[in-house]
Amino acid sequence: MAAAESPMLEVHGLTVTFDLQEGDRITVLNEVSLTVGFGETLGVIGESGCGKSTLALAIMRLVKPPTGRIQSGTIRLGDEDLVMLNEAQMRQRRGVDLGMIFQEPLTSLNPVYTVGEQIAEVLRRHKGLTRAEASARALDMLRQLKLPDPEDKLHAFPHELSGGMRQRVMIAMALICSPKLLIADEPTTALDVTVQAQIFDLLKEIRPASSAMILITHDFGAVAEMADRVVVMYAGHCIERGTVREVVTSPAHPYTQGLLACVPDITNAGTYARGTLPEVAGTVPSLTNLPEGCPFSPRCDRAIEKCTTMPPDVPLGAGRSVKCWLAEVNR
Amino acid sequence: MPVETPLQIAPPPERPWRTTWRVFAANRPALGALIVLIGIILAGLFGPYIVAPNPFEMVNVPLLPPSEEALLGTDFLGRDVFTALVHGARTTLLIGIAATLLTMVIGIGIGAFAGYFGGFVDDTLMRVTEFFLVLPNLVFAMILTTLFSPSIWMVVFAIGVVNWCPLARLTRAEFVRIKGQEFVLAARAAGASDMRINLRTILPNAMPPLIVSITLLIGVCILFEAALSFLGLTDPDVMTWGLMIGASRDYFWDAAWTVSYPGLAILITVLCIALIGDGLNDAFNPKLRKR
Repeated sequence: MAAAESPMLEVHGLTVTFDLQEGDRITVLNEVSLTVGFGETLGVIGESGCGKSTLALAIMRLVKPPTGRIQSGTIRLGDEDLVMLNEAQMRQRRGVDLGMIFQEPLTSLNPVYTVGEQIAEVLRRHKGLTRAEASARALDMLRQLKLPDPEDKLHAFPHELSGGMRQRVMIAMALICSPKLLIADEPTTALDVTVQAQIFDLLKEIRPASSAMILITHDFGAVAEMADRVVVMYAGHCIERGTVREVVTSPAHPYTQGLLACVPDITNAGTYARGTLPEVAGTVPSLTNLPEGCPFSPRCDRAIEKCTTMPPDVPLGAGRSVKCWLAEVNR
Repeated sequence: MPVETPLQIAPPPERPWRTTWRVFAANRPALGALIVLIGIILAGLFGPYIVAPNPFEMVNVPLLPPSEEALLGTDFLGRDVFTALVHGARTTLLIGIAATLLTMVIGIGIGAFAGYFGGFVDDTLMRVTEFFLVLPNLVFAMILTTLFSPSIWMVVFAIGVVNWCPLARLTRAEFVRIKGQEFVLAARAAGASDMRINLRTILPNAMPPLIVSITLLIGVCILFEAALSFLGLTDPDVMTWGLMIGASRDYFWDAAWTVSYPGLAILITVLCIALIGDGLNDAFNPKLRKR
């Protein structure tokens, strides 16, 4: 496991808000802090709308004014704070230091250019390579990604490829400049399970050994397979963090416990009542109408009086913490 | 719109431009129209050097019907209709294309800006567009040409200034639609600048409807030029098809050839352009390409 003392990426107290049409303002990320070490993979897990994708876009500095704004916090990549950079400086980082893979590989590729042109484009723009050099590198990358007939695929348009092939092209575009940080936003959600496994294997194999990776997902299986450490998000808060083993085997937050209880277990399939799977009762609260205090408290069956005020981050050991009053009380 | 330069490491199965051409050529009416239009363009380019150099010269008896002496007859001043037609082709195409280019620059520029940046920029530019849109086109163009000296370039300017609005609105609509798509975000995540996203990412995706619109626009510009010269608002020393029709309009019942041949020339040219636009629309749509 990577050394936690000199992280590649350190996000501290990141707060992102969006202005709504009626003059309301919602806080999509609330004081989010996380670190990713060299060569480490951090899983970010949570339900739809918990702020996972906004976190990815905020790190890329793609949360756009006038509606979306980074209100406070720092995003340190290496020695520099990305929040302090201007747009032109940020453009030099994107694609070079920061690579991103999106959820839906068909819509993330430009339909009018061949995949070779799209991969080569990144190289030509950032590394100043000629068209021929960039194409050769692109071809090399497609070979490494085990695309069948890479020479042929280089000249294919995105719509001519299957979902798995398209996602490999996205990976090629994100990794072609060997970024320090790779952000994968649900990279396999749109793919079927066998392709998902191939993509994960490729991601492990091909990414530069020293680079950091953030894997955003709602799938505990993906986190268990890919990540070293995990951050659980709920309604814009980091509610629990720790190594994957710690979080999966002894979840501390009632929400994490509920989420893990929802993962179907094939070894005791008989315990499920006919046709039902366990679930976390209730729904994610609307960000325009968050409850007082802990955002999970209305759904929490162990909520206590104190839960109407915001719980602190309760440290539970090195790199492990939970945002819950129960942990504070039990400590 | 495909990029024409082939990639060089492996011989590609088919170069993008070749694919475009093959799809286009499979559309027979479009191919036929292209051949006819090339003929008209060649006539406009080289014809004036072959036929009599001055289309205004009175070379024959007035109102001579088409015959061996005058292929398409002569007009009421004894000017040769065929000579005028060839000279007119040059002017008409020049004005049509120049006015279309001007319209494109204004229309796509304003539409792209408005659609991409949105908000205040969008509101301002679209109100300006609507202001231009409510002015009656022909009247506005007439006012512009009469206010200044009636030169060819004034006509081009007038046609461009009155016709860009629909193109701006279409471009804006396409940009608004496309900029929300994920590949634009992906391009930004790969470090592309606003300029590059506009020109390289969004514009090529907006092209199919714009190409159709632009080719139709060439036709509209040619018709506009014909209307203005019919009304005698263009340079009277430059022969155009509209000028021929306008000058001979009183002789239609006695000498139909003086009016119908330039009219036919306008009809065929505009029709060819429309058919080519249709063919290009198919050819530039990557989803219709089969490899």
